[in-house]
Amino acid sequence: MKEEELVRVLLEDPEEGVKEAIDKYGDTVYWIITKILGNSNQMDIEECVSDVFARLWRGISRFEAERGVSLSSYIYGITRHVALDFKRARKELEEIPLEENEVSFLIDYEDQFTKKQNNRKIQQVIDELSEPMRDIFIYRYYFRYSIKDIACKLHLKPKKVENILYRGKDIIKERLLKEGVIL
Amino acid sequence: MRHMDEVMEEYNIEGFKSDNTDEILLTKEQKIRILEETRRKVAFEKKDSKEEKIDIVAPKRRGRIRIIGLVAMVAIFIMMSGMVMASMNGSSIFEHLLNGQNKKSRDTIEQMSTIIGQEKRVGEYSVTLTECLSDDNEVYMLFVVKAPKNVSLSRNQYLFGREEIFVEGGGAMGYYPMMVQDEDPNDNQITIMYSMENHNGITGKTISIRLHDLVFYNEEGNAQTVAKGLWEFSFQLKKNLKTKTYLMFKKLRIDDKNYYITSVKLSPISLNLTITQSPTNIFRSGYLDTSKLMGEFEILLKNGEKISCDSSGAGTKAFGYGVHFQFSRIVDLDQIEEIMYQGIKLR
Repeated sequence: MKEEELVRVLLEDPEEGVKEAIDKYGDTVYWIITKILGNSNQMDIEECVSDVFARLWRGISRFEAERGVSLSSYIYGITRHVALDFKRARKELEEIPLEENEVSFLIDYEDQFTKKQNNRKIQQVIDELSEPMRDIFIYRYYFRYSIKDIACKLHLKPKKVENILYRGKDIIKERLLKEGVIL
Repeated sequence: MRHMDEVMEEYNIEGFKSDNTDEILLTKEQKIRILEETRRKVAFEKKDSKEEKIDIVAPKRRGRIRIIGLVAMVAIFIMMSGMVMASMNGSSIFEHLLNGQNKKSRDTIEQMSTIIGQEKRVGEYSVTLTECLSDDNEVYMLFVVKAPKNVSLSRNQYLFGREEIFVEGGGAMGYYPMMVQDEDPNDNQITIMYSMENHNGITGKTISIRLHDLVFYNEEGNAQTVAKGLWEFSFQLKKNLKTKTYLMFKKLRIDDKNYYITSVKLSPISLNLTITQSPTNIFRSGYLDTSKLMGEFEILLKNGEKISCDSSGAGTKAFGYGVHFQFSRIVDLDQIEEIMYQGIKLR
């Protein structure tokens, strides 16, 4: 079922739509949660997965109103939030130091058109980063891994991970501006 | 948008996922369970907004969380007082949870229950561990939380912010909280139930529980603290004669590999399997994805009725796995015709 069709089903018959959505996106939702929560027990992970689809069910009308992202991005965005909230509630989420997290420019997300344009550019710039920079960025800022865990996962020294993150932020900024991201 | 983690918020992870080889595919049983749980959560909200009346529903938070509607219990709840009230309330909740509709079921529930009645107070909030129901692998524990008289616990998703559960002798375990809904949501009292399973066996053992901070969940699913504190309990489970153990050696084939069911522990409320794998296989290919062990389970009674499981869990242990099924209702062991698991007849 194509995304537009699935959105229509979700709006007209949410139960059927959610069933289809679990079929279509469930594996990725499960995978994202497993990545964020690590070796949690099966029940916790499934609990988070059902939280994601319950939020989709309740919020599908809001998604329609905010069409600036694809349905899959919308679902994966909810997934990331649910898993990070869960981890935060267990006091296992390490906050990123402010000075590291800060970017020196403000990306505009005010209207749908701008949001869509900027999302596309962010996606492109991140995807075009060289390895291991792309993986390090994704593990750090998407999955919110600690520097130590990233180093361990990618067989790098923690200092090297820190250096790549530091350099990477400048590269991303430079490329986003070059791509014409709307500020 | 000023922060890197916010920049990544709208990033579509699919491309990264396809570059990785650690994809996990949900089984058909998992998808069914997830859909069912999603339905319950959404239904709960509908009930809350008086759009629809249902019996068993779920707030959000970790573990499996359900709310049990207890329409028939209101009268008992109001009329009784003190320990008697807690006891009656506890048994009634267990009867409701496990569909204890006939006398035999109710007798079984009574035999498996233990009245505890430990009250702990932190500041103006007291928590009483009133009663538990257990077999050799599973225990349901009821906690009644009381706020000061002038405070109404009228939110619908109260839980403890964090809990620590210890079992004498340890062992792999899993647990989840549930909130029990009473008919007077504006009073100063709520009941929270914990269900805990342990693969090593818990009969006669001491359970210690530390409950941290009473919280409620707002519509966005964020926890807000109602009362800060730590309520600690410790109690001994009674020896449970209702659990039967059957030793066997049945081959189970998953993903072209052999596993062996070596024991089945059966009680009126749950079934526990021990599955082993040869050490060579484990060293060669690692442990199996345990979700593959959690589906395809059914009990057939002599009268033709089929009993499914309410929830299941699986975990690894030394050279094998423990698999746990929690029944949707109390089961009369004498009435079991057969137990089927992954196409294998266990009994």
